[in-house]
Amino acid sequence: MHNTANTTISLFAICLLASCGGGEKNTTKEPDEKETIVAPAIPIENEHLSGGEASIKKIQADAFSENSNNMVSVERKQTFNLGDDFFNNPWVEGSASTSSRDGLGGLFNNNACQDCHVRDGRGHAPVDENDTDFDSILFRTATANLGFEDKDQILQSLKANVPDRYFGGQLQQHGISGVSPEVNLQVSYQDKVVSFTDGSSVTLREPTWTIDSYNPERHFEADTVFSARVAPPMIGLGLLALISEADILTKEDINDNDADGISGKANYVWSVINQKASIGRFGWKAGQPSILEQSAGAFVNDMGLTNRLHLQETCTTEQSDCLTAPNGNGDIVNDYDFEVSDPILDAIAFYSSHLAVPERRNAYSEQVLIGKALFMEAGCQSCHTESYTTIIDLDQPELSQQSIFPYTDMLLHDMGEDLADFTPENEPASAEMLYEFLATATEWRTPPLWGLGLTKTVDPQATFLHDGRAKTIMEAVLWHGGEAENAKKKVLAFNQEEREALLAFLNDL
Amino acid sequence: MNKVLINGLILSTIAVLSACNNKSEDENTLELIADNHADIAYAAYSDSKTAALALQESVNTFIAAPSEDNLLAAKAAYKAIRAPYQQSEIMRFDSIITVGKNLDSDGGPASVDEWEGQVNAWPLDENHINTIIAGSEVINVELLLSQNGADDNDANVTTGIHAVEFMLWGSDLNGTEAGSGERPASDFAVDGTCVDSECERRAQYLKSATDLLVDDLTIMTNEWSPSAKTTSGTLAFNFINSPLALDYMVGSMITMATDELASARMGSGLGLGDPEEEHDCFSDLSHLAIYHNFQGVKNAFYGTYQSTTHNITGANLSALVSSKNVATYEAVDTALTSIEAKMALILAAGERENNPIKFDQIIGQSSNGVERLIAENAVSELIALDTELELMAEVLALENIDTEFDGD
Repeated sequence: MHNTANTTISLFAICLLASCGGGEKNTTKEPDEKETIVAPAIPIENEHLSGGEASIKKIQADAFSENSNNMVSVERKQTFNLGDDFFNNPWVEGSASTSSRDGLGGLFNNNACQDCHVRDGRGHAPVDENDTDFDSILFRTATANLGFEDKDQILQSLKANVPDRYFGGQLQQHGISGVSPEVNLQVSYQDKVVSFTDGSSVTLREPTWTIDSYNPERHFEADTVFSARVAPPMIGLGLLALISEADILTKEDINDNDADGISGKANYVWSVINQKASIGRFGWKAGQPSILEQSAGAFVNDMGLTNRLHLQETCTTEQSDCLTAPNGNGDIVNDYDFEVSDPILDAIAFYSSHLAVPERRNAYSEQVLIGKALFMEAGCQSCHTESYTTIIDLDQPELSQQSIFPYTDMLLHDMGEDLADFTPENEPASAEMLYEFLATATEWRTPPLWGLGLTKTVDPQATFLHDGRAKTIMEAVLWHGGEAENAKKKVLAFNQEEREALLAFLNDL
Repeated sequence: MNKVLINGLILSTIAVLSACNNKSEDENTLELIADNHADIAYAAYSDSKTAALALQESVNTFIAAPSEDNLLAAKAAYKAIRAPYQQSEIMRFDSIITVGKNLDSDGGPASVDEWEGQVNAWPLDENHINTIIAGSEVINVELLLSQNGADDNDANVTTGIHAVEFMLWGSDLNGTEAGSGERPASDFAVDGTCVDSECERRAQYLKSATDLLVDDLTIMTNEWSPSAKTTSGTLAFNFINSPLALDYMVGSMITMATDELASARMGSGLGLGDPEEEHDCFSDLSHLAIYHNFQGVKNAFYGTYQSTTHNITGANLSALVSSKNVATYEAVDTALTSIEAKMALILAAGERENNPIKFDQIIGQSSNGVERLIAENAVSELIALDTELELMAEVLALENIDTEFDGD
């Protein structure tokens, strides 16, 4: 935002000098004939429209907050606005006079969607050990030592995992009045220097998480494994929902039969709506099959708000203060046995489906196209699949049959030990451990890259990767391991100019 | 080069062409429009401040002698703030003009959003206020400030207009039926008849919230005063000296029309059927609040503001747009006129002597209710206004600046 203003102001200054100086003519500068190891990628028609016709032309802090650009129906915009209202505004303890907005907690991570998904964008990890801001990052639990029956159920996608018995599957660091929070959280970082072939280097920060029980009487189970999750950006989700299963599965290569070092596995997860295993699309480990189910899950887990898909609070049986906390069921005119009314849940899902992807700014510039060619050469597109055409969906005309450029294969990949879920001692959990349905402790769904370059415009505090350890896009690239190890090595061999081109491309997304 | 930068370039070029000579006609017009808008801001805030001072006086009278008559007088004084204050809200959005620009160097607010959160925050969970009153801490302005947004919860509103509203009216337990909050004057009894021993603390609360409101409105009035225009660090100074002043005005019009009126302030209540979603849910004065929010949108376009103490007309966006593209002007003018007709009907329904229909009753009406249809059409037209205003921004080659800095 400030950058944009500055740009305008400096343009102003240039014009001023030029026009008063009298006559120095602007000549188009010939691009330098520098040696690059790749030719620019051949532009693809309309690739600047990352989200197809639903893309919006926005480059400022509200760039992630607009509805699909091709939405014309006033009625649909109204539903979007209703979702926006409830995405932004805080939920309160039950039973309050603001009866449509009450029922927060007993336990919760945050009281408004927007406070994690800052301006509909990405959350962040705390800055250092003194920073208590865990508002846009949360931690899950799962236990590592599974009995045969549990493991069988997980492999059949009947349940995600076996959470810590006392704390439950998600750790909430807040409680409403009278309810103790579950944990105290802290992070410290250790420097980790990574060098490029040409000698220059980047200092990464490696997190050490401290997750302490708030109640000193209670302890995590010995085999509990934690998973850190920063709130991901909200744009383009409705388009991802309309990538055909066939398109996703065609890239699956679970046993790496083509021996390219990259497997790719679809997660299959339990669908509460369909009551059967379905392909997982949303969340860092693709643990949710649809936007509606993702939203309903976030309501109950992140904010302690029951809804028609989750009638029970997440309190475990031993958390009596949580169990007896006041609820916000129904509102002043309508009776319902949960806290988030159906119109609100549905409006939130609609809103989340229609947050538009911003158009790219310089998709056809030479440097960006060189960067794109380098991205391809490094093999990034092996997982960050460039484009799809969405399937027909008559209920979502704005998103139906769109040519989109999300840069994700929607599949799970092993990203290596450094990025793995971790034990209380901050040791990486086993790559064999099933963590969330079929996703293991080292596997993550390839996140879409669209909107990447506007991340910090939307929120300067935003950080990258599932646990927010990367402060910059390049840091995120350099944390890639596991199946992405070879691609990262190629980036490490890039010279300065190539790195700049690669970043020019990524920042243009 | 993308369109926004091109627009910036055109604007800059226009500015430059004139910089070496006299100011261009265009640039003069832009300055005059911004200047007039600053005058409107000052008028709306100073009217709000004057009304708040009158409220303070009647609250003091009421607290000293808590009769039903004095309560009615205080409620009437409260009502008088709504018209000017809601019109001032067109100036209440943070943007690149208003944030991070030296704003607290004059001792004023560092952020418009933070200031606003203290003055007109909503929705308000009255449980929080009741808990404070039932507690034992000394009730004063400092306590209210420290408890505003407590527990990191924006709905824990302890200060501002709606806190005063709650103290004067109490909860509206009538749902979508006729009737507002029915707090009796005896809630503030000083003659030993207090039913729950909290009367004195309620009075302290009402007084503290009112006193703070006066202070806050004084601060904001100063930010827009004629002398503020030439004082670095004021909102008026930042606004009239910004090359993005008109961009901010149009951005604010869009935000008020769509995000606020069509969504949170009208659409959500109508859509959910929940009367607690109305803007002034204790006093049932939402019809007045939303009508004057809409006047703020019109004021920004036509460059006008009218009250008993002010009658402002001046350089304005509508004339500028008309000079550049008549069709766009007519589209916006027609849309505003049509919405005005509907908002006026809602206002009249809420204000009429016999059998008034307040906004919470409209929320409760069936889908073919007379006023509900009017309100729903107003919402639809407010949403559609977005398109017309975006076109207007294009005609004026404005940058689409973000007026939703708090993430609304």
